[in-house]
Amino acid sequence: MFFKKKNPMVTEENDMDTRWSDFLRNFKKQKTAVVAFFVLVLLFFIAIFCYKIAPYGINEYNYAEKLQGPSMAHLFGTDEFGRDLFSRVLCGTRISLSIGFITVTIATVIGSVIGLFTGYYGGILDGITMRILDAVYAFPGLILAIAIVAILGPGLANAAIAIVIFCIPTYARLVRSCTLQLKNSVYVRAAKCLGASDLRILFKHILPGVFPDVIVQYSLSVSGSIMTTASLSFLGMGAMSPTPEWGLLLSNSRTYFYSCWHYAVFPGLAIVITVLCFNLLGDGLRMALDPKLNDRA
Amino acid sequence: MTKYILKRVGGIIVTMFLVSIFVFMIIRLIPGEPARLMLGDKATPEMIETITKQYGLDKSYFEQYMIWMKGVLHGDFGNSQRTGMPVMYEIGLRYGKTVRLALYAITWSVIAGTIIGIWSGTRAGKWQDYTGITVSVLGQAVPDFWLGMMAIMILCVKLHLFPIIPDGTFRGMVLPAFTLGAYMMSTVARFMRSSVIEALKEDYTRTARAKGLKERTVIYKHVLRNSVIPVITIIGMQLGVMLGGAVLVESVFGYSGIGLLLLDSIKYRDYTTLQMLILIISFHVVAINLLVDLLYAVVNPEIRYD
Repeated sequence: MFFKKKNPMVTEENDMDTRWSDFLRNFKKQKTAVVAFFVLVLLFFIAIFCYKIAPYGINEYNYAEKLQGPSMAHLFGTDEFGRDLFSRVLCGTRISLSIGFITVTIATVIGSVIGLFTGYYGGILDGITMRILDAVYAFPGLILAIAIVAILGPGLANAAIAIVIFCIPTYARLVRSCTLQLKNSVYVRAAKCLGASDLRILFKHILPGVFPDVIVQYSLSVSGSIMTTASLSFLGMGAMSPTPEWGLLLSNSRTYFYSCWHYAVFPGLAIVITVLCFNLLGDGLRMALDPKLNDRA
Repeated sequence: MTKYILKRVGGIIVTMFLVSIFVFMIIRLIPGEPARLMLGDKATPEMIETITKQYGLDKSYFEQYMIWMKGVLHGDFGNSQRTGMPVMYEIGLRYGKTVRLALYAITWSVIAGTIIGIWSGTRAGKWQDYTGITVSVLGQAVPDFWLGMMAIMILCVKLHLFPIIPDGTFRGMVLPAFTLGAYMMSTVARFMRSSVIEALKEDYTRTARAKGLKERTVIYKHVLRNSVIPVITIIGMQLGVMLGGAVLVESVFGYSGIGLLLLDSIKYRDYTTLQMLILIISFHVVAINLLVDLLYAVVNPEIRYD
C-alpha cells in the first residue's frame, strides 16, 4: 500500500496529488460505482442534448396515435394526447437532474457554512441553531416539503425551495460534527499559533477536511432530491402539465392504468435508474474516501 | 438514567415549541387574509368578522399564538373547514387505519430486513450476499408510489390475487403494507449486513468460536445480539421517512388514512386540518425518536449518558 515513490519533500501540492491518486485507485476498485458513474455521465449527455436527440417534440400532439403501446415508431409508446413518451421521458432527464443538482448545491453551501460557524464558535448561537435544526428534523422530509408547498403554492420552483429547506439540516449537522472533531486537531492548532485568522482556518484548513464527508452526502442527497421532486409532482404539487417531469408522467398515467402498462412503466424506470446510479456512486465514493470501510455496506 | 430521560424530554419540549410556531405560521404565511382562508370563498363579511374575533386574528401574533396554543393544549383543534366537523374527529376516523398500515409494514420489513441482512452478512462475498445486496440496493432506489403502481398492475389487474382497493381485510392490506415497507426493509438489510460483518471480526466472536461453540450458536447468541443495536437506531430514524411514504402509498391505493387526509386538506384548502395533521405527525416523529433513544440506552447499558 505504501510503495509509492518517495518524495524527499512533501509539498502541499504533491500531497494533494497523492490523495487524489489514492482516491482514484480506491474508487476504481468499486466496480458498481464506476459503472454507475458512467451511466450518470450518459444521463448528463442526455440531459444536455435531450431536445436534439428526441425523435419527436415533447408537446407534439397526434390524436390519431394516442395511447399506443411501444413500437418502432414510438419506443415507449404514446400518451393520452398521442405525444411520444420516449421523447418526454428523455427530456424529463434534464428537469430531474437540474432540480437535483441545483437544490442540493444550494443546500450544501448554506448547510456547510452554518455547520462550519456553529461548530467552530460553539456557544449560545450553536445551541439555538441546533435546536432549530432539530425542529426541522421533526418533520419527515416529504411532509415538510408538502407543508412548504402548501404555503407557497404548487409548482416546480416552490418544490425546489422546499427540498432546499429540508436538505439544509443534514449538511449543517454533518459539517458541524466534522468541524468539532477537526478544530482541536494538531494542524488547526498549529495554524492558529502561526496567527491565521478564523476565516482562514475555517475555509483553508477545516473545510478541506470536511470535504470527503460532504461529497458522499452530496451524491446521496441528489438522489433523494430527485425522488422527492418526483413524489411531489406525483401528488400534484410539483411540476405542472405539460412539463415532462417523471413524477407527473406517472401521475397522469394513473387514469389509463388498466389499459396502458407502458405509460406507467417507463417514467418509473427512468427514476429508478437515475436514483440507483446516484446511490451506488455515493456508496462507492464513501468507500473510496474511507478505505477502512472497504468491506462494509 | 433518570437525568438522561429528563434531559431528553426537556429537549423535546423545546423542539415541539419550535415546531408549533412553524405550524402556527402556516396559515398566516399563506398570502391572503387568514379569516378568509379559513372560511373559504363564500364567506360573508359578517362571518369573517366573527372568525376574526373568535381567533383573535386582529391581535398581535404573540397573542394569537397564545390563544391557538391554549386551544391545542385543551384538545380543541378547531373545526375542519371542509366538513365543519371538529378536526380531532376527522383525524380520529383515519388515525387507526394509518397506524394499522404502518404496523404491518414495520413488522414485515424489519423481520425480512433482519433475515436478509444476517443471510448476506454471514455469507459475505458469496452469491447469497450479492442477491441480498441487489435486493436492498434496488429497494432503496424504487419510488414507493411506482412500486405500488406496479404491484397493482401485475398482482391485481393481471393476476387478480389481491383486491385493487384496500377493503379493510388482511388481503387488502398486503399490497399497501408491502409497498410501504419496501424501503425500510432495504435499509434494515443493509445496516444489518454491515453490522454482522463488523461483529464477526470482533474478539468475542473469535473467543466464542475458540470455545468450540457451534457456528449457529455463535451467530445467534453472540454476533446477532451485538449487531442489533445500531440497527435499532436506523429503524427509529426510518419511521419518520415511513410516515412521509404513507402519504404516497395511501394516495396510490386510495387508502383513507392520515396521509390521504393530508392531501385532501391541501386540495380543499382545509388549513385547520392541515395544521393539526402536521403537528401530530411531527409529534409522532419526535416521540418515536425519544423511544428509540431510550430503548437504545436499555439495550446497551455500557453507553454512559451525561
